[in-house]
Amino acid sequence: MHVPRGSLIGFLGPNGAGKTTAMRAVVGMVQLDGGTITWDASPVGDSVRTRTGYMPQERGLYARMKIRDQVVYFGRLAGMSAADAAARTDHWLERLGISDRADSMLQDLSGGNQQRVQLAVSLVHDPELLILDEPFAGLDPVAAETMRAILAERAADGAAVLFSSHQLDMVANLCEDVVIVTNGTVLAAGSVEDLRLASPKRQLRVRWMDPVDSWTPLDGSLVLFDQNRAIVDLGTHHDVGANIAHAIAAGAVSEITLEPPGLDELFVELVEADA
Amino acid sequence: MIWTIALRELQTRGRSKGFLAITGILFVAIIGAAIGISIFGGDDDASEVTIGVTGPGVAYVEALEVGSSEIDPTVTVLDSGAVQAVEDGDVDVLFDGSSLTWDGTPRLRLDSYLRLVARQVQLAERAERLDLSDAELSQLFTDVQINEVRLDGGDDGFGVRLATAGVSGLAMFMLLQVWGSFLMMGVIEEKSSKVVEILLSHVRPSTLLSGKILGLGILALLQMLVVTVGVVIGLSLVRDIEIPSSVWATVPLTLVTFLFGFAFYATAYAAVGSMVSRQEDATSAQLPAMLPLLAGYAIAAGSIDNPDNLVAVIGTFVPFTSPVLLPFRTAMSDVPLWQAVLSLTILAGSIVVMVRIAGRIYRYSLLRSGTKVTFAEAWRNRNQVGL
Repeated sequence: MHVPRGSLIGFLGPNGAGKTTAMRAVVGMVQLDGGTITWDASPVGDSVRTRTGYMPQERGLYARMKIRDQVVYFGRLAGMSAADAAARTDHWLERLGISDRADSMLQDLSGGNQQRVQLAVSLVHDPELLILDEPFAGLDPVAAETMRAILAERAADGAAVLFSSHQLDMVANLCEDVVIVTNGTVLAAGSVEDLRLASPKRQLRVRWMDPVDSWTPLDGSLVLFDQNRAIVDLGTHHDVGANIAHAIAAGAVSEITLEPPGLDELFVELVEADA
Repeated sequence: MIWTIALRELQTRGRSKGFLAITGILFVAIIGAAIGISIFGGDDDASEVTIGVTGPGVAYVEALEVGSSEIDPTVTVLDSGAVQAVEDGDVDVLFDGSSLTWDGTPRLRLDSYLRLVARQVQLAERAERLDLSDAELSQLFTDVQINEVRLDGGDDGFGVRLATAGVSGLAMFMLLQVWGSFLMMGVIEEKSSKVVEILLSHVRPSTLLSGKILGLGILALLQMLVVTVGVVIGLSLVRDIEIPSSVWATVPLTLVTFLFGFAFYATAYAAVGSMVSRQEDATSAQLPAMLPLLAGYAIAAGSIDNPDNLVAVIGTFVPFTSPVLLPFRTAMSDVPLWQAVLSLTILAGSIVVMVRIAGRIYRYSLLRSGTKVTFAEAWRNRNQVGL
């Protein structure tokens, strides 16, 4: 699995697949049973860790510490000078819209604003590698959009961004590339488009101009039929062309599409096939 | 990095009201106690007393008025209503030549003064009746000289020694426990709030732990210094009591021992703190770290009469008990230099061992939330963490 600079990669897998463990391993918190993690061709270690921004799945900061002090503190721990840390803290608090709360204790902030502080902490040192465990969990649509924009921006600035998520529609919208894992092994990796097209499954959707009394596909399985439209799941062994012709023969067609499975279907398919 | 962490500990703890209040109270209490001792204790000045005499007692007026280093008497001759004067408190005691009348319990020093004077006067009268010459008289009254040989070199001030030993032993026991718990609370706070996961994405567990110990250690030392200054000021306020040299030796030794003891125990407290996930479990979690400290204090408390007994001496070389026993024994008796040096050397070496063992428990347990981590589990998996 590769996370190149400038890329934004969604890290997918069912619960217990090993996503969090893999991410923790990058920042050195767990020992690997096997395999290696390298960054710029050298194994990850202290020097890489200070250039890595990490947002753990279980959020948590110091409850009784002013948020500005807090973000500066983590910048300092990442090796920044006091002045740099202060400047970047102000930048990110401003960018995340919480600069007016800079002198509030974390515990006095709403849950959503605490999430923003958490993000500021992982961004303050302008990391070249950004690892985020479920960054969209618990965000309202506005906050999710901010998060989405910032992640895309970081990738565009040349950072390598890896984030895990269960919100597959969000992932499909946000990133070109995904990695799907289960039981600690990579099931699929690559661009969302390629993975979808690589699937042997296709879904045929037909809409007729006038109601059709009854229709059954030549082969494949009928998912839905309601006189105006039909949805059929097809596999590679099915004759797609014959099915299309069969649908057109039933009546005048206003719309006909042949779609590879969506990311969510693909995900279920891959994981179930593995199990 | 360590300094950044230490600085945060210094700032958050040092600014806390609890720390400032405890330090202030300790300082004031110690000086207050010293002032109290010098005013009310001691009996340094001769106490002023009023002695009433009546009947044959009148013959003793001249002798009674002489006084002593402890008694500064005013003698009043009473006739009728002499007993009433005692009851009214006009005189402290009434002497009629053969008996002493008190209103309540006799005052020891005054009582022995009166008996001594009466005895001298009566002896002089008897000598006169025997018609002895002046030379014979003076020979008779020459004091019998009993010399004193003290194998401890005449080092007085057992009370001061005991007080110093008690204070330093108790201070070690309490401060190590208090600061150990502070450290443990900080560890649990970081673990329960999950902030530790971000901390560990930046720094190694050993760096985090070292920073915390350093920060709190500086604060604890500052507090110790304040207390010590209080003790020194207090001791110098105590007038007319000679401070034995062993007491002065205790002060710097206690500071050094505290530093070492803190590093040793703080690591242990951090390890047991990292094994629980909630502040509620802190009390039971700290027992394994606190009991050895308590044992040290118990040995000290049981060794007041004989500070050089075998258990106490052995305890001086055991790192778990030496932080309490070394200052205690130094104040109580003359601990040979080699014992102090050996004790501190063993303690310093044990810090390294403790950091290795407890540090591993700490780094494994920090990321295990949920149920309490057991020692066996932590030790088995000590190498699982990739840092």
